[in-house]
Formats: sequence, C-alpha cells, structure tokens
Amino acid sequence: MTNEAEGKIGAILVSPNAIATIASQALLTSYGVVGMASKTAIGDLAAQLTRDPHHGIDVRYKRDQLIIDVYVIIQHGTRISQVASSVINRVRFQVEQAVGIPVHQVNVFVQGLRMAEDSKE
Amino acid sequence: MKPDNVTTGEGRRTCNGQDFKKFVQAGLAWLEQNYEEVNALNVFPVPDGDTGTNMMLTMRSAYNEIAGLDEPHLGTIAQKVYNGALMGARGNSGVILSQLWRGFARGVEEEAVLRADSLVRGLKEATRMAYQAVQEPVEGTMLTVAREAAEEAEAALEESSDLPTILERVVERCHLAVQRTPQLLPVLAEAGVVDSGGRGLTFILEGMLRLLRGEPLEIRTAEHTIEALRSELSPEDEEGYGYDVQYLIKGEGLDVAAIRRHIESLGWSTLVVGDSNMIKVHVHVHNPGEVIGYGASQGVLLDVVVENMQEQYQQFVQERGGPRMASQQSAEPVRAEQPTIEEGTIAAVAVAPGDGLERIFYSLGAAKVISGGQTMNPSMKDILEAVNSLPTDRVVILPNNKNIFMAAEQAAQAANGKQVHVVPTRTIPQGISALLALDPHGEFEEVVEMMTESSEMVETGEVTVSTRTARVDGVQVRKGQIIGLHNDKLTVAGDDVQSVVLDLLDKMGADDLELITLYYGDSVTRQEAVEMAGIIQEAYPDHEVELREGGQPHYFYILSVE
Repeated sequence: MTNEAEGKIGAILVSPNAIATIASQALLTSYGVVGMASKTAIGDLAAQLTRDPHHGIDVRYKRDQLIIDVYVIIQHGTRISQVASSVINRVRFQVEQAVGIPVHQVNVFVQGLRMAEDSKE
Repeated sequence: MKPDNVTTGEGRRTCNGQDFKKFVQAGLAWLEQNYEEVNALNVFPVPDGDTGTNMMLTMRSAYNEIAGLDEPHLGTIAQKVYNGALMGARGNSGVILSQLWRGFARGVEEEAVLRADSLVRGLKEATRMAYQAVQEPVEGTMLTVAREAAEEAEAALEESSDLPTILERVVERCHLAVQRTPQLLPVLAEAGVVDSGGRGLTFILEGMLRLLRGEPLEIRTAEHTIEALRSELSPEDEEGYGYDVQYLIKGEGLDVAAIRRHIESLGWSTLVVGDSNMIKVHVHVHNPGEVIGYGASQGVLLDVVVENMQEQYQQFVQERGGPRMASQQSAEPVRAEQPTIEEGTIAAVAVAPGDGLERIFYSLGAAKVISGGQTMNPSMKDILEAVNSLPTDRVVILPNNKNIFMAAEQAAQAANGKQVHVVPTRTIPQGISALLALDPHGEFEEVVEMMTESSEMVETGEVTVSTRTARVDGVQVRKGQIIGLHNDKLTVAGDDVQSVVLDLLDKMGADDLELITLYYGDSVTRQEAVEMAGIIQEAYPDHEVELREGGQPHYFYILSVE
C-alpha cells in the first residue's frame, strides 16, 4: 500500500495491484507488444492456471519510489528498442495520469519474440 | 527533394521496382513538406517524440535503403523498403509504419511489377500485418486509416484496374477516415483534432498520388498566403491584436463541446480542452469581459490570465532587433554597388527579400537595402539603424510588404532629428516604381507624394504555392495548388505555374498596358524563367517583356505590369 496524498483530512492509498491493473491496460494497447510473460516458466504456468490479470507485471516500492517491471513478448520484425521505449512512456503516462503517483522507473524485460503469422522470416 | 518524373497519365497500369522507388520517394517528399502539420496534431502528452517527425525519419530510412538500388523487381524493392523502415523506425508511429511496409512487401513479394491487383493485395496485407502486432488495436488511429484504405482499394478494383484511379479513391477515403478518427477516439474529440498518425499516412499516399498526377511535391512555405488568408479571416487587422485570455473552468457535468462552440463564437485562436470536471480555455478576443463572464456562468474560474497582445507585439518588435542587428553589422561587408549618398539629399531605405532584388534596388539608387520580406520581417530596430546610418536627414522608407508597415512606421517615429516618411509600398514592384520616382534633390513632401503616386501606378502579381485549402475572395484553392495574387489579393489558382502566370496577367489587365517585368525566385532556374518569359512574349507579342533575377524565396515569380 502506498500513500498518494496525505493531508489533514485523510489519506488515499493505492495498492500495487491496482497499479498493475492500470499498467496491464496500457500494455494491451501498446503497439508491438503481443503478449505478457512471467519471470520464470513456472510463473507462466501458474498464471495460465489462475488467469492472473497482472501476469508479467511487477509493481514494487524501493524507498518510497514506485518501480514497475513488465515482462513482455514483442512482435518479431519490429524495432524492439522503439517498442520498448514506447512501452516505458505509455505505462508511466497511464499510471501517473490515473493515480497521480510519480513513477520512478519502468523496466521492460523482453522475454520473447513472436513470429508473425505465416512468417517466412 | 524533388522526385524525378515518372511517365504518368490516365491508363497507367503497372510500375516496376524502379518506378515504385519514385513512389516511395514521393511519399517521403510530401510527408517532409507536411510533417509539421502532423506534429501539430499530437495530443498525447506522452513523451514519445512527435508523430510527424517520427514518421518522416522512418520513411527517410526506408527510402535510403533503396535510393541507390537499380533492382527492377518490385517485390525485392518493397522488401528493402520494409528493412529500411524497420531499422529506422522511430516512435510508436514509426513502428506501425514499418509494419505496414512489412505487410505490403509480403503482399507483393512475388510481383515484378505493381498492378492494380497487387496494390490491393499489398494494402490488405499491410493492414493485416499492422493489426497483428498489438493485442488490442485502438481504433481511430493510423491502423483504422490503413484498414479503410485497403477496403477502399479492394472496392475500387472491382470497377477499375487503373492505378491512378484506385490510388485516388484510396487517398480520398483516407481523408474521410482521418476526419472520422475523433468519433472513434474520444481523446481526439476532446482536443478537437484528428489523429496524427492517420494524417501522416494520408500524406504518404497522397504524395504518391501527386507523383502519378504530375502535381508538384515541393511546397514553398509561403507564409504570405497564410498571412493573407488569416488577415481576411480574423479581425486582427482592423482592431489590433486584442487580448489573450486563458482560464480553467471547474465544475460538474461540463459540456466540453458546447463550451468550445460558444468560445469559438466569441473569439479566434481558440483552444478548449478538458473533461466534464475541468476545462482549459484559451482564446484571443477583443472583449475579455465577455469570455470571462461566459466562463463564470459555466462553473468556477481558476487561473484567469488576460494579456494585452498589442503591447506584447510592440515589445517583441522592439526587443528583437538588438543583438541581431549588431551581429549583422559586423558580418556584413560593405557592398560595392551601394551608392554614396550626399549630405542633405533625400535617401531611400528599402526592404527586399533575395539577392537579386537587393541588387536591383541598389542599382536603382536605394541608399540602403534591408534583407527581409514575407517570412523574415526586419525589426523596427533594423530599419532604424539603416536610417540612422545614412549621412542625410531626409529619408524615405519603402517597406514593400504589408507586414513590415508597422515596424517601418515605428522606425520613422523613432528616428530623432531626421525627417523620415514611409511610402506604403505593399509589393516589390510598387517599391521599385516608387524608387524610380525618387528625386534626391527635390522638396521632401513633394517627393514623397510623387513616389506614393508612382507606386500606385503599377499592377503587381505574385505566384506562389497555397499552404492550405481555403476559399478566399470567391477563389477556391487546395493546399499545394499554385496560386496567383493580384495586388495582394488571391485571384487565380491552378495546377501549374505557367498557366497561373498567364491567367494572372490576364486578370491584371496586361492587355491594356505595355511593360511586363518578371522577377524570378530562388526556386526557379534561369532556363525555366527564360522559357516563361518566352511564353509571355508569345501571349503578348506587342508588349515589352523584361526578365530579372529576383532570388526571392517562396514566390516563383513576381510580376509587374505598367
């Protein structure tokens, strides 16, 4: 849980799960990202079984600073550096806009590439 | 960049890899001319660079990959285009564009030449490929425009197998699709813009169509036209610059669209963005009270800022000259052709764009020529320095452009101890006529009167490219069309320079006059100008036709008839 605003009249708390949900929405519409992946193969399996909506997204705090790790699968044949930096911008923007908490870092882990359909490459 | 000509015309059915190269070049060229417009549509504050710039750099990389290739096979060239786009993809829009090229290349990979059916297949594959690379495609973006383009191409193929016909329909559909993007994507509607990526894609396809039609791909950004149009459309001329008003409205259930409509009816340069709880308003008005009153009736006002733009403008004009003038003075060598001015005589200071025109003014006896014109107005200080530098205390200023009047008037007033008068010449030919009437030893008042009269005797024509689509003075122009202005008024529009020049001369009443002078600009070669003069001479066999190198930017030709 974290503090968004602490004033005299009370506090607003936003959980990492809520932030992960926002991030996952941002990733769904990120161009070039075709899927999410876990850090480990076991994680992938578990996610499939539980249909975890935050699959592939890790939200944590380090000394009050918000860090979001995303584990993604990117379309093969796109410029990965550009897709990844778009992801960073997009996730940061969506989260900051929605909850107003500054995002310290967004780390993109490219866990795999997906070949395009009927690809010959 | 000017693409080489491709044999064009109706009935053209195929093009090989080398022809296709020119298509890519044309798409790039047209985007390069228009990318700033695309940038201006960027509404997402996501720091992902500007869409127009990103798409342009991606296209440039794509074109560079094939620029030096002699490969005639279309499929091979298309694959190279994708490679280039992939390597140079910049930003989100660049990545999408690279995927479109990838699909296109896949669609035509077996084809040696582009036919109508392979074009359609290419566009369909492009769309399919582009949609594949995202989990949830967002509609109202470049993707939507690409999809509609492919749909239209497919429908068009059923009626025709003519490439230009199909491409024409595709481009038209793209324009419609772009117009509809705000209906699909609320964030666009709220900002009152269309999708930037879709617009960029449309420019690329439109560039290709322009090549097929033989239309020009180089636009000189003739700010003139914009200014001319703007002054017709906005009240800045008569009532000054007015006030810049900004505020936030806070409330509940605010109707952004309704508020935008109302604000637009109150002023100009409006920007109304926000949501039902908070709206940002920015507008230029003559009566700030009205617009603030309206805002207060809609909700609570915050951060109200009202600025007097007339003041700002004058400050700007005054401040601007300082450092620039200093550097110019030290860098500028004394010109050999500059005539020496005797003490006590009447001297003229003229403003002119381009080396050729500068030389002409000097040769006709101007004491000082300040470089400037349509898009590079000299400051009041530039003019004042020029006036003060002359060893005489009687000076006439020839601004030669409406936009410079104010600076010239201010310079005239600020020139202490000198008699300075502005002869309000609006065009270069007017300035030249006025200068010809200058008698350095005459009575000041009389000379000014003579010069003013003389400037009014000449008819001015200017030929340039329209920077936007508009209807002014009953003339409909499309962006990119060649237009002719008669005495600063938009008079004719057409698709090629030569016919516009002839139409314009006709409208200027050249028939009843004797001397036609043609000043050609920096985008026209001497040979083209000689040819143009020949055509004019043929149309007016009894007139005297003179050709001069003007070297002016933006205008192909400046014409004077007297």
